[in-house]
Amino acid sequence: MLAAARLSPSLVAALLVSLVAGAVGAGAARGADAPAAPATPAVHATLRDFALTSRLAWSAGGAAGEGAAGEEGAKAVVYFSARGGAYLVRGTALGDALLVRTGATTLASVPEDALVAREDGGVDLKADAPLKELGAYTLSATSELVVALPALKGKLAPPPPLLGWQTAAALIEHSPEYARDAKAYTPETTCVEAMCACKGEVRVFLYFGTWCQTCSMVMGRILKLEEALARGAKEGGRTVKFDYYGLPPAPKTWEDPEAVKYSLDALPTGLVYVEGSCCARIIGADWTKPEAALKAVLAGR
Amino acid sequence: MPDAVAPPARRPLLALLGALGATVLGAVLLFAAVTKAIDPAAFAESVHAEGLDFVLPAGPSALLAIAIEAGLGTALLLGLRRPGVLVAATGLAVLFLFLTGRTYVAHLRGVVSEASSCGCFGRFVERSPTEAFWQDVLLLVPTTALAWVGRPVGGARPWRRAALAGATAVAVTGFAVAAPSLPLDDVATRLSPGERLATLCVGDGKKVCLRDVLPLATEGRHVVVLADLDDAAFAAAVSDLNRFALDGGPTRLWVVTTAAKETVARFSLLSGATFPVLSAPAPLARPLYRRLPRSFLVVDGVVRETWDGLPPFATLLPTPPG
Repeated sequence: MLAAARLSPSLVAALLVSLVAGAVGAGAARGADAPAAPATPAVHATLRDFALTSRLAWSAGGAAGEGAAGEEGAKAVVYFSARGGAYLVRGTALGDALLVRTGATTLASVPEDALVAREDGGVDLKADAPLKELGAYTLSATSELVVALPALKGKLAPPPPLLGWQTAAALIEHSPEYARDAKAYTPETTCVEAMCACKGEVRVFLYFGTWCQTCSMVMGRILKLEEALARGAKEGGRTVKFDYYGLPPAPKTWEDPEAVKYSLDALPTGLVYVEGSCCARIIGADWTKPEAALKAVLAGR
Repeated sequence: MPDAVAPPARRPLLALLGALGATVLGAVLLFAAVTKAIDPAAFAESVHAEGLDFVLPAGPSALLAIAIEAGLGTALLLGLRRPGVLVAATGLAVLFLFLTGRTYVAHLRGVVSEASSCGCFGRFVERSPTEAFWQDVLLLVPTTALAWVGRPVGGARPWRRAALAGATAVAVTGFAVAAPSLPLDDVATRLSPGERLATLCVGDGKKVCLRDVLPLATEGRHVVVLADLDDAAFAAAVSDLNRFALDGGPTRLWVVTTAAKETVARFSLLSGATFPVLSAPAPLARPLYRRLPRSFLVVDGVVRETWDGLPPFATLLPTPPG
């Protein structure tokens, strides 16, 4: 109970955000008066296992005169299924969900009541989901996926990067993959316990990019470590606080004032401060096992 | 008929130093020719990048350069220090110094990253601009200068040694033509069983390593495919790769490319690829293959097996129970 009370506010907020994201999907799935889904409906053989993704984000409009683009874009939710090689966009002006099949480069609509919510926040298509073929999509010169249907215009493109100081909640809201990776990762208990057993305040200023591929592979693990350290914190013992700073993609990455100030040249980079003084940097792939890297840095302190 | 023996030089010490310089220079040139011949495609890329394909296309230019280098190297090793040989060898040394010096100056000005490297020794020996320039200065300047010293004067024409040098040039060039289809990838590239992802790096200051591209491959079992996303044959294999990515059990699949992010995005959205495609800097990835695709198995950060082409999916897939 005491440990739970000490969970960092940002992590609690992150949890709330992931719950809200799931609720948005579920709400969009049900609609106002749609019947409840059966308890165990048969799901589609390939068009299933759709999970929230930050690979692409929906932005409505694009053509002149298309109004309310921002409002629609804000509520649209994008899922990706590796099994189906497809994206599912919900909450657009289409009403039904938009199915984007990447191999076939085709678009189809799927009624919301043909979707089955998953416990992990994702969705499956029902086995007998009626797909209404809508045509093909095109790619823009900058590799954005362009949807130009009579009933729906917009594009799917990587979301804007998170810039500046961020909380764990903001990270998970932007990149739901981080939450899934965090859930799948278990930090080595001995490392976590050893760090928690010591005294003193530790702060880790983590510089990353939501567009950076190495970062995307380790951020979930770092968030999980933050959570584990917060849970393991003892009364009067060591506290480890993480702060996250998002840098812009190239070519502006190293021109960012923080990057210049701390001479950053690789991502992710964590500046570790113990009792207010900087003692070490943890860089790049060293974050693959964040608890081991941080323990090694703190070992001599 | 044996070659006529050249009259002895007037100063034996100078003659000895000259012969030593010529031998070392010859060995350097022959070694460089053979390392280029192992991966002529990579050398042709360097020829093109250096702008040396203004007379002939890069491929034939590369083969011609390999032949000249092998012939001159052999001639010097055999003690042929005729003016024609020495002028050609000096010209070659000056060209190498010019190319590495140009890259080094650009590097000092911040135009070329440290990860860039000269292809003077092919991809077998990877060098940063700094290493390439100073190694060439140390190897080529004294040996070339010494090769001119204490040269035997006069004597009959050494036809046999000249013929042997010519034959070596033809043989090395023939090897270069055949090399791409020979199973030499593990020897000719930096990627071979036993290598660690953490030690496959470029740059001698700030290093970039394969571990930075594949951080999660430092633990567990992974199959990595080095691929050209514009290759139609690779695009045709996407469904096989997708299936393996889904059903590969504990073995994770990664595709690594030197393509730009826009190209990766376009590939993913048009091909239906659902496996992760990672971008790697060309100076890091290029020394890992002679032709694409090339694949390898990594277990706990160590390369265990390599394959020319796509991995053998059938043998890598987990056996179904029963």
